Amino acid sequence: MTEPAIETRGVGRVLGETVQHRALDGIDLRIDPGEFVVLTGTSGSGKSTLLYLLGALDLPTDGQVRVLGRDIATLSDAERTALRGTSLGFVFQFHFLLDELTAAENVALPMWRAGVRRSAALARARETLDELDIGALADRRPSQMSGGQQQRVAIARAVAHRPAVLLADEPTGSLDSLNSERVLALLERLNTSHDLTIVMVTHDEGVAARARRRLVLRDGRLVRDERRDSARPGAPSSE
Amino acid sequence: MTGLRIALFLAVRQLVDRWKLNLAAVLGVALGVLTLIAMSGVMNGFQQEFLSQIVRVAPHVRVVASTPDVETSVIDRRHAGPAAIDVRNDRAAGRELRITAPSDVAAVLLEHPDVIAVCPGLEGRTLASAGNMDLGALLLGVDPAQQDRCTPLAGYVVEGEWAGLRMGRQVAAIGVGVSETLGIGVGDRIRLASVTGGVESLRVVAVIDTNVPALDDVRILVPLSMAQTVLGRPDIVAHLDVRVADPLDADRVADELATRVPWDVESWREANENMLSLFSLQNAIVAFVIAAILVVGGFGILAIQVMLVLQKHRDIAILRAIGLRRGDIVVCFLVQGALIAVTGALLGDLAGALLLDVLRTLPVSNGGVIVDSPGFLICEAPRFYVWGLVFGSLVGTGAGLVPALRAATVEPVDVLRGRIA
Repeated sequence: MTEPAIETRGVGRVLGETVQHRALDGIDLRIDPGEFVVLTGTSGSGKSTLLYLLGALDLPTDGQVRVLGRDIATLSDAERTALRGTSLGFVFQFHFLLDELTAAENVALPMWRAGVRRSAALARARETLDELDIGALADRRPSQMSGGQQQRVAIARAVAHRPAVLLADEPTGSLDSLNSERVLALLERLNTSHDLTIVMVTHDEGVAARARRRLVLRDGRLVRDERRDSARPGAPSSE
Repeated sequence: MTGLRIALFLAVRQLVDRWKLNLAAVLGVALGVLTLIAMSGVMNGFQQEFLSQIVRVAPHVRVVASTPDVETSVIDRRHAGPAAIDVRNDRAAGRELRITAPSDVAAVLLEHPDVIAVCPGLEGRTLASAGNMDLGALLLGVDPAQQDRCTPLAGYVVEGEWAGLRMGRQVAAIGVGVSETLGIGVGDRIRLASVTGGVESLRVVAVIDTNVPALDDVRILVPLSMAQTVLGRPDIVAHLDVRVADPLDADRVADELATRVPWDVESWREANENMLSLFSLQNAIVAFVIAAILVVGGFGILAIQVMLVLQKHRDIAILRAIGLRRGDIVVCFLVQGALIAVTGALLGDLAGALLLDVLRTLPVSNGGVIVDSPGFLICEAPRFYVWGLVFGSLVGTGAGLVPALRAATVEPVDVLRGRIA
């Protein structure tokens, strides 16, 4: 049996300082390498909170989160940072590109931080941008790109260092349907061609329908875990 | 090292990207450093000129009779008990400040290895006049043959000759200020009012310009015997001027000489204590002003960096998410503060050097009270530029530290959840 990419056991997370509420409760989950999983649920159901835990950006209040075999609660802040830098990729609803850098530099940054020489990191960044059909944007700054282009560059940044797991928090949430389609197609391609494990948060039914596995959260609990033999590639977005 | 290189790269990019805002911070630091250099240059220039003149023309050490030597009157000396004798022109029993056996004392002083020369002297106030002009003057009686070894005034004679003081008793060397006030020069006569009521008429043989108005405006030098006559203190030597090998070591030599003679011994520093205290106060005020300006410059950096960190929360979050450590974030923002500070300090050094050049040429009167100069006296010591660079950089970097540490505390998850903007 292969080791899971991500595994959680009885994970809970309490948020808030003065007024506390339980955002997650008793989450048991196993995600194998190469899976494309979507997390869905209503607003406030705990999707993003779970994603941040799976990405070692946050620590659980209860239970255990294992990412690539490592219990994140036992790692130091520096070790969690290193884990994120080398093995995980992130895409957020807003692109979060650094305004001062070109697209290629933004994409090269995680590789450079992971120890790749700057020139080599930049070369690989350009390759990645070419691979994702946005090579023409390499020398542009974020302010010179459209929202869809920025999001695709953000995806390039998230995958250029060949992470084992890509965590995406509503990556199409701020895009129009055309750009949403482009981004989803890109993620599907990366999932199949690079055997990349993808965990994506979305509240978009159309987007959710394209994944082979769907986890539904409600009030911080995992209420459904649906697996489909084949997803619906190219299904239209509901928004 | 990789994290450091990335932090430096990002810092430089952010600095360049916001160059207008950062330029304001750079100018703030530059202004502080410029002030440091300009004020240090002017203040030290003035002080050093004063001190170097004092060291050149004033005795390094002076042995002074400050404890009165009680003298008994003629009557008391001749009669043990009460007597009714009419004595005319007898001096009242007096208290005299004098160095007894000055030659013997000088010999003792000269035994000290650091003492080069010892000269006897007598100083007092007199009224000098020429024509219808008069002046309250400081009369200094000297031994013309020896005095130039203790206070080398011969080199400051601008008219006449120092050697003229050896041509009898009725001669005087006057300061250039005295010459101007009384309107006399070499060959003219100057009258000195004696304490006994008489008037001595002396021929001016030399005019001295030491560039120290405090001396040149009031001082008249005459042979010792003439000073004793004018001041009514026959045979009295009230002080011994001492020249030492190293004037900067005068305090130590003075302390050692004080153990060898029973009179007060004061170095040139003690003699000019009031002025040196004034300089210390002046330096403290200047240091306070400079510190205040540098701190204001530092606050400029602090304000800009705090604003930058607040605006960059999202960037910090993503940098942390993609693998930059807290230390990298600190370095990134700290380097920005440091680069602003160092650039400002270097710019301030450059501007300071240019300003000192301009000040040097400005025809500004300094009043001519302490040191006479046609413009600012500038001391351009390399240490001022080093101080500027060091203090400017430290203040600026220190100001950048707080926002940098604050940036490192930003948790990506707080930004992503929207808990902080």
